[in-house]
Amino acid sequence: MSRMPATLPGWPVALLGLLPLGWPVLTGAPAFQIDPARAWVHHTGEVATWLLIATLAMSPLQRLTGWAGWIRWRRVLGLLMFFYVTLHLLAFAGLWQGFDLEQLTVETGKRPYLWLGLTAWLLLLPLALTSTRAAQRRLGVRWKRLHQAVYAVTLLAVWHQAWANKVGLAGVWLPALCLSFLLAWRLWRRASRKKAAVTR
Amino acid sequence: MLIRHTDSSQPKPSEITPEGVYHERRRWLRQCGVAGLGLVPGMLPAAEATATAPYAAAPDRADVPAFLAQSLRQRQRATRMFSESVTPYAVASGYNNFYEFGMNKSDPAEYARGFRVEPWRVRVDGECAAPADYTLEDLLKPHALQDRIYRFRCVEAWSMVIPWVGFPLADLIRRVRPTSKARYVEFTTLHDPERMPGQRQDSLDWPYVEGLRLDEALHPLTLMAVGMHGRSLPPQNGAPFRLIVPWKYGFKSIKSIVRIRFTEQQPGTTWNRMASDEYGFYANVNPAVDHPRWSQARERRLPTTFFSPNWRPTLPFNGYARDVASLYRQMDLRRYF
Repeated sequence: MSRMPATLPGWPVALLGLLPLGWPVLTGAPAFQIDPARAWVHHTGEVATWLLIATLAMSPLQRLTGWAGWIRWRRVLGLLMFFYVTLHLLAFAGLWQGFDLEQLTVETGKRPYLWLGLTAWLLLLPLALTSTRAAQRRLGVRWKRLHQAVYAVTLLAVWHQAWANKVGLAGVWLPALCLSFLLAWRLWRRASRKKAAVTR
Repeated sequence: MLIRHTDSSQPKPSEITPEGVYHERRRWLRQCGVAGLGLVPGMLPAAEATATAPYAAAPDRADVPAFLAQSLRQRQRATRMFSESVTPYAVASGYNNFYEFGMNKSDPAEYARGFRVEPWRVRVDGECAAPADYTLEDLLKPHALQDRIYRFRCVEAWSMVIPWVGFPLADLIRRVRPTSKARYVEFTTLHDPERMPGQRQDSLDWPYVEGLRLDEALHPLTLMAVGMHGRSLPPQNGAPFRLIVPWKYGFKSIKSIVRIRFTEQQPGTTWNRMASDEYGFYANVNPAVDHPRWSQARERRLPTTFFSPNWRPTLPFNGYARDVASLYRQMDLRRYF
């Protein structure tokens, strides 16, 4: 670890994160030709979920490896995630519903899992806007508290996905398991820190 | 008294081309072609194709058994255009819900490749006079196949138009003579995780079971299909033998059937058992009764494009209300959805 530079640049991560946009072209997956709306909605949602997992994995990785560079990538990954969630929302409203406001209102009324998704996006919006270093300095302690909203987003995302699913938890359980693991790790750390403070 | 029964799936006498005119069509087309030769030389073959076929026939697999190939060849062909354009074969065979082969829409086309359907046996039993194990050949032999172009509406609010090849289920039912106790027909899909990899996961409660009321099963629109687009069924579309009930959501039209059973009680059907508040036993296409999680008032006709989701209003009974609404005359369709 001692030979590792303190941090590595974020742009290669950003480039890698944009690769999934080329997925339909690279794989020639028939779903993107037959039903592009549905395919893009599912694809962007899935990529966003895995980016959420990657984002949340950065601080545990930093703790476990002792390398500070992970945290620098957290910002890039978080922003990429927000980018894909936004595309997911646009794909649903645009490709699927044709930006038809009336239908969108009707559909949202009938599909409660859409509220969950929309709430998650609204919660992510201030996080994305305050992701700059300047905002971080300006907000100080409050920045950390604000960005804890990502845990609420995690719960909403899993719920949204599970509810939208046609059968059971197929396709949902793996990301849900990863996310629960990452949340459990944080709870465990908090509990053990508290215990340490008490015994001291 | 003469009771005239009109079957809208049959052409009206006024729509049938007289034999003489039919035989003359090539000459007529040739004349058109000659007349237009200087202007549009490519017109002739195109005009000939559209004049005789409402859909483009797809090439069949190389190893179709002889009896099936012959039945398909001798089928009564659709000569009328359908009022809506037929979904291309690549779309209808590339976008499927068939969880026996995986849960993504493209999984069945991928994982059903090489699915062995010969020999195929169908057990017919329960309340009927001629219970037996039939080979597919036994089942097909007495019936002439015909093209039937039907709308296909999935419960997930997308739809297609598909030219099936099959024969009325009623003809099969009359052959095996249900007893007076028979009130329902239950259908079962093959259960063989070796050949159907999706069955190695418990995504559904295998085997897949569907059912119809006997009068629904006897309706002339209800079809047993062995082909589509003029060829034998590809495995992802339910080879070699499947049900088609055009006025019901697609999940009722069970695929790769190995058992047909006549029962006194309403069969427990797969999706109904999974989520009875979302998938009813009847599952008639009904724009007025929403799925609890989405609207059924409209549908996306596939293929869609990046720029248009191709929405269209969903029709009561999927457009077959005139033929089938009377089956449900006394019923509250909100309750029996």
